[in-house]
Amino acid sequence: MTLNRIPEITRQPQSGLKLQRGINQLSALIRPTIGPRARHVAVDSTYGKGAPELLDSGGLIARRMLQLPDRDEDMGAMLLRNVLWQVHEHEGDGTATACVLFQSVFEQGLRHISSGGNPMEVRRYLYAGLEIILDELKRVTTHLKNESQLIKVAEAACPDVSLAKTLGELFSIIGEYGQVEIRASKNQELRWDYIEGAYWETPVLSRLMLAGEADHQLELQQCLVLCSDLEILNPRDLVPLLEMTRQEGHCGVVLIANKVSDSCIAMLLNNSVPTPFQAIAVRTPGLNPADQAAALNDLETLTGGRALRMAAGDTLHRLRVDDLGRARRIWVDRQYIGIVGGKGDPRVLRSHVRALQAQRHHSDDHSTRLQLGRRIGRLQGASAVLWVTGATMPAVDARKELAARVCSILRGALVTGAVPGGGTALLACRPRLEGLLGLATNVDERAAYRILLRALEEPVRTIAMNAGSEPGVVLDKLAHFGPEYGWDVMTDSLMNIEQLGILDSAAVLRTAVSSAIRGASQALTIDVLIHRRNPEESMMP
Amino acid sequence: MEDVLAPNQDPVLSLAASPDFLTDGTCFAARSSGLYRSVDGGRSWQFAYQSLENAPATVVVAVSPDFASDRRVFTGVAGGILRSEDGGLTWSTVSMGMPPPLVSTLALSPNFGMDGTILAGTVEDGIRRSTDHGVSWAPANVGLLDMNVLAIAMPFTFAIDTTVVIGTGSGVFQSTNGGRSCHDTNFPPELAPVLSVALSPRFNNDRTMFAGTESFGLMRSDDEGRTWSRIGEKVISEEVIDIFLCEGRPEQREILVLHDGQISVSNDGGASWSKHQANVPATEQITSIVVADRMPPMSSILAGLATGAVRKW
Repeated sequence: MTLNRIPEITRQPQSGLKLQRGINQLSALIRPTIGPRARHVAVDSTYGKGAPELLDSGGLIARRMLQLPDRDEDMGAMLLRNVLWQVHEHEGDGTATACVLFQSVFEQGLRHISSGGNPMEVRRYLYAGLEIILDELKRVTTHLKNESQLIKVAEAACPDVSLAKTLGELFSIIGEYGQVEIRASKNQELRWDYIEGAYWETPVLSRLMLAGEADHQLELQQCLVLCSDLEILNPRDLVPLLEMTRQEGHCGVVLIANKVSDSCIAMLLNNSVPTPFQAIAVRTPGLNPADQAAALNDLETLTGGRALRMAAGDTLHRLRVDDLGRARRIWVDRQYIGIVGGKGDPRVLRSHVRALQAQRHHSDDHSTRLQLGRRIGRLQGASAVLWVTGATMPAVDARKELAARVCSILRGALVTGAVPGGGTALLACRPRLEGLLGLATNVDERAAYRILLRALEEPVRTIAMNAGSEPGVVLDKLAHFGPEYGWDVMTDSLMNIEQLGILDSAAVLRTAVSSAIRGASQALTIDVLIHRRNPEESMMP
Repeated sequence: MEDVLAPNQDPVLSLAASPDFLTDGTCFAARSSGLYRSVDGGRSWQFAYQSLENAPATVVVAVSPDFASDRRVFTGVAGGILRSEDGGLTWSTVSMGMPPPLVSTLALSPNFGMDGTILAGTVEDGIRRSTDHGVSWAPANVGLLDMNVLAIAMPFTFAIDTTVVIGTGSGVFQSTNGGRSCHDTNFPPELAPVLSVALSPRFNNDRTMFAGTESFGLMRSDDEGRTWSRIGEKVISEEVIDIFLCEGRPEQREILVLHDGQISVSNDGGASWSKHQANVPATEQITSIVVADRMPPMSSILAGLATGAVRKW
């Protein structure tokens, strides 16, 4: 049994140096992945067997790094890891940029603090400088207008040219709320299929209802739909629904409910004969009550019915014709239900979508915004399936993961726009900071601006180093020719930015810059590292 | 003008003329009894569906901008589209998927010969789009929250500005990618349905669009649909079925509107209006018009009547 270690405390200057070493070790893993001439990082397979995992995403690389041997250094690495993971979760990209910025700000800041600077003051001025940078980034942001711009943003984030082109084309159609389901394809072709209408992932309540249907998919036309979260156990409860459907002259009804008993399923199946009358039951979409409530809200708006809710005491006994929704077409397979041409009032639908857009705009919570975006995309009929290919299953999985990241980036870019890529946008923020540096007299303020000026060069430096070029030479040329020029890594030459055609998502860059500078500034204020007693190790399996 | 479309109370629902109508005299009239074709400037008419076993009721007809070379004509019927490649002599049915849609409006790209783009608006199925001159069709309903499409318009400069405006039962939608997807505009929903839409010939510069409503006359937007204002309310009170904009020089701002069974014209971009000379007695009602020549003055007009007759000015 391992002896418990006593708690450890590390103070300055050791704490800062150790944090820096940890940050440097993690940064060294991620730096090679930035730019078009990037390299991969291989991570050992989890189970010790099989091919290593090849990664080029800073967030995933950081995530795979579990622990450094030295506890103080590990704290530094974990600080950076946390920032990178947040950037990855939020935007899907920009982690390598965030990493090099963080490292540069921390290293320079530590040097200034070690020579007598006040860390709290430095942090204050770094935050002020960050606002200037974000403001300047807004100035150089352009809104995306067409497919070719979207493709350029995708190409900047994705070395897979055909994938970038496909996703750029796809998002030019489905827009910022578009939902893309990424699946592995058995064919050799990368392609996408538009899914008409709105669809939800929810299982059919009995596969017998799809027996005999081609591709296990049933399609009903001009049918009625009852939306609910009820549990229907008694077959007699279904009689009013079935009678109403036949009286209305419809040849199909879809029942959406949380639970339908086997005897009720049998009744629905029996009523499906003689054809063409068909009845089918699917589970209420959503994994929890809140999701189900949202789904019911959307379904009743889309189809023009009134959802029956258990919490409101609704039952099938008091079912009225007006409670039933209508749709031009409904398709159901084992896992999904799709509604095309819902017959709800379009004015009500438009108001509902606008309300969801306003809610999303005002929400600060990332997962709430994601969920609202999904609902809006669904109601707008902005859904597609992307079929991804690869030579092996690991290659397919890697491509799927890359596609998911690029989708997230394009979605952000459609909302916030794009900036000149390759680190050029950050260099364009320097003149204003230089002006402030010239006016500043406070030593910590001057240090903060100098730190930021140097840090803003770091992405271009790293891209140049990874490409085998001399960073100093590249930066000198860029400084000489001015902000209208960028550096083309592939041809190792300066070009006019518009000719260069490299665009980065503004959302990604803003998040990366903001997270890095805030994270590093906060880390500079750490004075003491405290380690707890290690937990006991158990000999029991 | 002799009217061989006997006044049988079968209103003319749609008219279309060849781009070279003034020289070739070819035009089409759609009625519930089918499609009629004239090659002498509307003096005489022949039933165009001779090659079909069952003549479907025809709601809308559209002629290719390159008719002189490709001879393509399209009609919207219950169940889909009929397509002709010989100037309306023979027809083929085009499959538009299931369930078969009821096509209410057609819009061919001004650049049709090159891009092959046609948009078909339907009553319950939104928009169907073809980019191969009408051979195959696919749904194009991303962002379209109202599947009842009543009118579609593309600008004269569609080759460079792929804006499309769509009038629906609940308002106006706009596409910026040639109809592949669209988004809502700020058209006031209480003024809908929108029966007709038109884009300024200089839309590339002035971003002006027009929308004709069912009950509230003619609306105009100068900022691409963000804000709308009513124009010509003293003359145009209710239903606006069609809008034609002059394609002359920028200072030639003639607008021709079919509304409430008659035609009105404005020569100053909509500021003032007057009755057009091509108007019929109050006992008759104009149900559709086509302006054969959009250069000013827009005087070569064919008008279809509720009686089923067609008049020409």
